[in-house]
Amino acid sequence: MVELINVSYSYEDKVALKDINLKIEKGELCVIVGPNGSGKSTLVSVICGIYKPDKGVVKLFGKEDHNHFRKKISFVPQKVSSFNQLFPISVKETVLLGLVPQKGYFKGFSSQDLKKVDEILQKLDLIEFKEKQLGKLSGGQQQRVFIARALISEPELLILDEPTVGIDSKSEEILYKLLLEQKAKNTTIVMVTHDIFAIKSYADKIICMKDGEILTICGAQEFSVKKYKQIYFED
Amino acid sequence: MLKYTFMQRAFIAGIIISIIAPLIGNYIILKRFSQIGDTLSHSAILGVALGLLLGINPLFGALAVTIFFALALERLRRCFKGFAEISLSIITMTSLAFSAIVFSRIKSSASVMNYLFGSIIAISKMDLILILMVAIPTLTLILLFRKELLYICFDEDSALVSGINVKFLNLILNVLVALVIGISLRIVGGFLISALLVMPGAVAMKISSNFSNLQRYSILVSLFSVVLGIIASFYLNISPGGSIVSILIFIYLMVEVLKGRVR
Ligand SMILES: Nc1ncnc2c1ncn2[C@@H]1O[C@H](COP(=O)(O)OP(=O)(O)OP(=O)(O)O)[C@@H](O)[C@H]1O
Ligand SMILES: [Mg+2]
Repeated sequence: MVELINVSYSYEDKVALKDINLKIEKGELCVIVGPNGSGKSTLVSVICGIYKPDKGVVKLFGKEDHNHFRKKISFVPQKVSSFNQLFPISVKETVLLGLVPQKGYFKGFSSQDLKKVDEILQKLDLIEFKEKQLGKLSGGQQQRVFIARALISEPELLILDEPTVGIDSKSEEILYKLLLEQKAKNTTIVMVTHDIFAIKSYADKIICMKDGEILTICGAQEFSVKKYKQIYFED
Repeated sequence: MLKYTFMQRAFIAGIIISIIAPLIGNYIILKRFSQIGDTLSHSAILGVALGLLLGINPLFGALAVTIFFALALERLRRCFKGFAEISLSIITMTSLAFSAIVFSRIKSSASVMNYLFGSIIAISKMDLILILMVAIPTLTLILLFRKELLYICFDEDSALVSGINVKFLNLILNVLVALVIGISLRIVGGFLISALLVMPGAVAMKISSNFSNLQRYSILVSLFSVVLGIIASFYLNISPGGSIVSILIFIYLMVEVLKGRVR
């Protein structure tokens, strides 16, 4: 589903990814961990196609040219609340944006689409905010709206960058439940998180990053407290 | 008042423009790119100057030059990634410099004022036809891309990831701004066009909590100001650009004060 071959990426003055090789199969739940600045968000941006790699190949859905498949990808960016809080958009409108790529030009939203919005908002415990302005919600509530936007299109590849930051434990539990529901539908999920022990038991693959490199890729069983300390605390 | 043909034309043109301008203006406000209106209106003035010099319809000259610079702007913006304002300044100054040269070659300067501050008596039948011919495809493009444009204004990265053609839509938006500036030139004039793009949205943003309302209220505000502005221009014999924008500013202040009261 996702394959990176010898991928490198640098910002103007900083090498952020060095020779990354990885492979994520269809239907897998893959978690990316690593300290701040280790290159997790950069890796995710390269996978998503927001950044073009300087070197190497990114294959999605088995193809190098993935423009065709983009409709099937959803992305929840890190720091979602960095959008302007005065932006006049309601929760409903934000979630509907998730359906835009699948709609043709000219086509408006149908009553079925609106029903989908209600369903997903219900699941994420957000229905009471449906008509509210997005900027007037709390940070954690906004985060959940972005998750709703990503899930409404029933993506085949779902990429989330630290989706649990700032949301309470009940909402976190709901999120994991939804992710597992998606996984059961054979959705491939790539998620950056620091909350590794919460999701560990569900993960098929854990990618450990450090200084722009992949330290190890392991299964959930092999990921231990020792390894955690090794990634986060050793130089 | 309506028995004069020129007033009928002024109202038709005014109503068309007042619906289209905020529809496009709202997107550039939300993209934090409203300066583009200022920049491209300078290009429109250059187009007018060239039209007058070459003896072709100045409105046509304005549309052509403005679209050209709208495309150039997108190209330049890529050269100054992350510093979009630089490309705006470059285009503004280029347009102004060339305008200065061309204007000094033109003999009569009476009609120039009409293009800078707008006029209700100067709209010819040809102008009106041109305005209609541009307005119809412009409205079609807005309807075609309205969801997609909102998506890229709100969250360009996620839109890109999910396969929205961000580059193409940014270009379309620039061209739309160029088109609306071209056709607004007659009524509000080159100096004040960007007010018509930005002010209705600025008022509407104060009272809207969602995007549909933003569109609705901004059109109402702009329709009201343009119609009233044209009437004022007729009875008080002042430039319509001046009267329309003054009314917009007045409405903005009213909303500010009223909102303050409510709070
Ligand atoms: N826009 C940028 N320009 C230059 N350097 C950047 C930029 N974004 C990130 N970097 C650098 O690249 C490296 C990797 O950053 P990245 O955002 O991928 O880290 P991360 O693992 O996501 O960290 P965090 O846990 O804080 O989100 C960091 O050293 C950072 O300083
Ligand atoms: Mg990050």
